[in-house]
Amino acid sequence: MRLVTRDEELEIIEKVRSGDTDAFGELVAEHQNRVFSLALRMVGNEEDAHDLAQEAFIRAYTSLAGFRGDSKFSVWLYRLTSNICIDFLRSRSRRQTVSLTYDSDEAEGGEMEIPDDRFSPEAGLDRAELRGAVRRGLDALSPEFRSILLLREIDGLSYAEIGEALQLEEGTVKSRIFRARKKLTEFLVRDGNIPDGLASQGRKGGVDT
Amino acid sequence: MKDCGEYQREISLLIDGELSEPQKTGLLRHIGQCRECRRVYDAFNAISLSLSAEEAPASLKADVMSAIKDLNVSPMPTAGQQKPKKFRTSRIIALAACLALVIAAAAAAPHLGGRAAAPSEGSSPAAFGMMGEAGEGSGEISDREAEAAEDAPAAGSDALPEVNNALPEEDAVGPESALFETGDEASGGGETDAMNTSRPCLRASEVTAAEVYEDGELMSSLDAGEAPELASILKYAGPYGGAEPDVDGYSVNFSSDEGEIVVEVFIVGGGLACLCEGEAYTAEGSAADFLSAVGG
Repeated sequence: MRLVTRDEELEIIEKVRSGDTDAFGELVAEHQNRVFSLALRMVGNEEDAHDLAQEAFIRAYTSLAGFRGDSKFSVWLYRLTSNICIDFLRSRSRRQTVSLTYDSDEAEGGEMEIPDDRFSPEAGLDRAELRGAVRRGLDALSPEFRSILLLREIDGLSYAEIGEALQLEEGTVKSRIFRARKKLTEFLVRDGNIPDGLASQGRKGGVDT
Repeated sequence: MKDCGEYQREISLLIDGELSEPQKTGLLRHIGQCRECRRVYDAFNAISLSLSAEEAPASLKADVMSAIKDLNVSPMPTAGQQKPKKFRTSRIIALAACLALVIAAAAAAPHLGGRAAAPSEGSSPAAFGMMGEAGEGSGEISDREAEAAEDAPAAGSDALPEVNNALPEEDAVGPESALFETGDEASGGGETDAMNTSRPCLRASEVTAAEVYEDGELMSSLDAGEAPELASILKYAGPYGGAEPDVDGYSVNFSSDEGEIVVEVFIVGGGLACLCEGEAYTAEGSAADFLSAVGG
């Protein structure tokens, strides 16, 4: 729940810059869930996520003078967090090599094939299982693709904000998010932990027009 | 004619509320007819619902603050003590400059960003009597304006009556947004009285579909026969001034030919407290009506 308006946030930042360290606590409170969640879904475990989130806030604090206020503080902060996580992932040797084959410059290609209605609302997917599978699937994305999807889904940044944060063209942002979703879907289909969908059933209502 | 690959790329945009109206209509029509694309839509939706912010551990803030204190370094003071003051006054000056620009740009703003717990495509005010799409777009405009004004980054945002209702929630259209804060917070104090379009107004007869989410999960899908009834149950009956409900709510995604709108619904007593476009209001129908209409 958002507790602070943008104006209030800028006032807080000014206070911190003028030496009121405690005021920074309000910014932490405001953004900690999203910063932590981004880190958690980037690196996959709580302990590292905690350290990285902490690092992100500390770095934000010490470089607050460099925040010019022409973008939203949140955009700036989440980008900072994302960069810290990506650096962390790169320097950590990864034993899962599956990820390496998944990303990069493979052409977007055409359509996806989903063999059944397993994802349909009526399929009664176990949400917890799905979440677990999605998390595993995230791991199969490259850090860059992962972060761009998470900035969108977890931190709620718009395409324009993501483009601004990552210095990418909006078209690139759109394309990467689509590809990330596509890869994730392919992983989920293959993962096998999603129970086979129901046999095609008539759907009730929804988007039929 | 588009091929499914192209439609599927659009599905990604749809989920993020980044599709233009005509494209959205065309896409939804296609999804209704194409099994493969419907499956992709369901899959992307399911992924989106699985990814949401969680609570940070309780110790995080304390750890951050104590680390900062230990640093013995405060952020570099900005050059000169005048900066804060300068910030404020030039904000007001830039306000006027922003006003015209933002109003002009509001019509051109491409989308409302942010995300809801339910797959919301952002809000399209047209059919629902809301004011212009001024959310993220005007945020961007005011950023550019701020570069010109240098010290007035958020100038346009909070005090322009034209864009009041959309902006405070620009970060999150869904339940994470400032739900039941006072009208003053949401509307910048008094200025929205001039905007009688600030009130969400559902034209019940025009809705073609509704999806009802409970706790982020789809519980009901209503078609053109059933959705209008739900819409009229959720029609604005008066402002809601009660305390923030401490129950989980439902998220209702209404579609019509003109666009989509999301209404958060909370059961309070025997009635319904709703949140739509940052506006908290009491609905015409009762909690029982609502539950019966959604098949609960």
